[in-house]
Amino acid sequence: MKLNPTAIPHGTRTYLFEEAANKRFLEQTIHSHLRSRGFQEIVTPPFEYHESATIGLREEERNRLIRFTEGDSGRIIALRADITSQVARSAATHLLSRPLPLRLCYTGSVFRRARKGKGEKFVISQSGMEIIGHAGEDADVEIVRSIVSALDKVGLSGFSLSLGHAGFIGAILEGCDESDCEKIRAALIKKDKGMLAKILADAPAQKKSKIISLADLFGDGEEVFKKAGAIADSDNSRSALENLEKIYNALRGAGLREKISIDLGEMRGFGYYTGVNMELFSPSGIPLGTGGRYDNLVKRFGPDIPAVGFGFDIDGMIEALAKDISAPAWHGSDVVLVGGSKENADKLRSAGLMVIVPLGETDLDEVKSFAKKMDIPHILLGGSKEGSFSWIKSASGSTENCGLDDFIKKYFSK
Amino acid sequence: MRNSKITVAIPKGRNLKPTVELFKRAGIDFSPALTNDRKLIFDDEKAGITGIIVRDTDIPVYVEGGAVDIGVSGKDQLDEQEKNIYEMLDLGYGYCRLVLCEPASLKENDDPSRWTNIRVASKFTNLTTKYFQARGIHVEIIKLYGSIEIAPLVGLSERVVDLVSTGATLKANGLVEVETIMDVTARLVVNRASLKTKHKAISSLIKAMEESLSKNPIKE
Repeated sequence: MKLNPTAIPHGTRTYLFEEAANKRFLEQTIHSHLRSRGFQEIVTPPFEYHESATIGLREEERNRLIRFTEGDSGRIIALRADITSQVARSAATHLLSRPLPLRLCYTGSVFRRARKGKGEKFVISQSGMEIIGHAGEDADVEIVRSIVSALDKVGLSGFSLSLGHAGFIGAILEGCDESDCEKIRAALIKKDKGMLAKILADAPAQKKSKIISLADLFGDGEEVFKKAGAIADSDNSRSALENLEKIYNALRGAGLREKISIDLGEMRGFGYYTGVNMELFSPSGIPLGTGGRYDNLVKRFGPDIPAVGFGFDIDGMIEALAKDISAPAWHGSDVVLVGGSKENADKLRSAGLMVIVPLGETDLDEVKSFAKKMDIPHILLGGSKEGSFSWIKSASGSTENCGLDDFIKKYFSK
Repeated sequence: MRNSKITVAIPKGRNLKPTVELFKRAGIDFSPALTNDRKLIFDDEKAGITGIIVRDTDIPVYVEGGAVDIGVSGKDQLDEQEKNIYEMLDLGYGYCRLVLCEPASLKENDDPSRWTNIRVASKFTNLTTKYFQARGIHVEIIKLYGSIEIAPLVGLSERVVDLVSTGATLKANGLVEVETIMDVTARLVVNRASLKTKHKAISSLIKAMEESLSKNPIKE
């Protein structure tokens, strides 16, 4: 069979012009905002030894790793499925001598085998942040505040953030054997109370009803905390609940009550979460990112250091940008400059405009059609008189005479 | 279609009538859907809820994609498609079973514990694969979209995996049941983000249904 050179691997994509601009805008805006809050960027390698790449992954995620072998040693290497664990390793090694807490941010892609028919992506672009070395609620709250203000900076002020707590579920499930735990997790993910009842058929009545009620523990914070308080009967479950309530109250104090819902039955995402976990959605329900507290992950690489973080899903953000908010007006370039000098082009460029100078012989009709097809709103046609240009607007075709300074002034005034 | 209103996907076919009854009990009137089989969108303006009528196999897709907030789907399709959605209520109706069947003549001398390699015709490729894989049996699946029972008669496969409710179709085609793979009922499914963003409206709807069903199950 002849291979088709235009075919692309399942789950991969290309970003053209406007989408690429949106991607860069999002990554750049999130990055600069995180920098302004003192997060420092780290860049980690795209693949890892298999032993490291699997740290913190559940079996299902492990099965989706893309693996190959290292030439010399024959060791198995995997494309990273998660950047947080790489950041955790850096904290445990390169950054060990730095004062805690570390505030770290990253932008990059993770890779997971895309299963057919599930709409999954092979390459997932993320921008994220981690606070490593602070166990208190202040760090969790700072992560949420950073999420909220980054969203504000990109123009997504409508969103909904769901908070859960891995420690609470863990405490409620204490004493269940491992295979039951896995089944319970699968049922909780679906909020399938019927299935939970079946799995727990032989469990003591009180324990059974406690675990089943996890599936109902979602909604407004105050209400959920009240219901959860009734089933929190151990030190661990009480302290987990208290921890989440503190975070919630701090966020409520910051005016975020309407945007936050609590879901104490949520048990998804990476296996390494130990405390609060977060799931972000756009107003129309597009997943925008996940995160949480992972106090036992850094320890896997050496020192025992608590940490919390969050990663934005850039593709979700791009979709939300297109659907939920009016993205900033986009065009391919600003001006096609025909018959101008190198100095003219430089002047426009240093004023901040994107300027295309056609290559080779030019025909005005061709330039007009080019500008239209490439979303370039303006054409400047020079050469007839020193310092004077015909300014043609691509959309309407209207023409006026002006000088360069005049054009720049008018361009920025509108 | 998504805003503060709730949208619901209602299945065509066998589960249509009990589903209309289910929503009626929660105070939502989709009864015009029972008499008008060309129209596919129904509004209960008073309740602020829109219903769309779609093929039952498509409902998990609509719900996962957020095209609707809520849907009613058979457990068979949910497990076959493995969508990332909430399955919040077993509605009790729409009962049937997913079974492995073979011709009566084959069954006489067949010992399933000795199978290592079998050929099965089915619509349910994922469930069938998983079922046999878990038992260490290699299964070659012949994907069909309908009239599954005919496959053994024409020699396409020795066995079939299909839904059975009364067993009449099986019998008419000379097939007998060998093993039940799963019991199936209809489930109330909910989009993940909808449950977070519209939890008040959705929770109260589910609660009304749950209470009504526990007192008085819906019969077909």
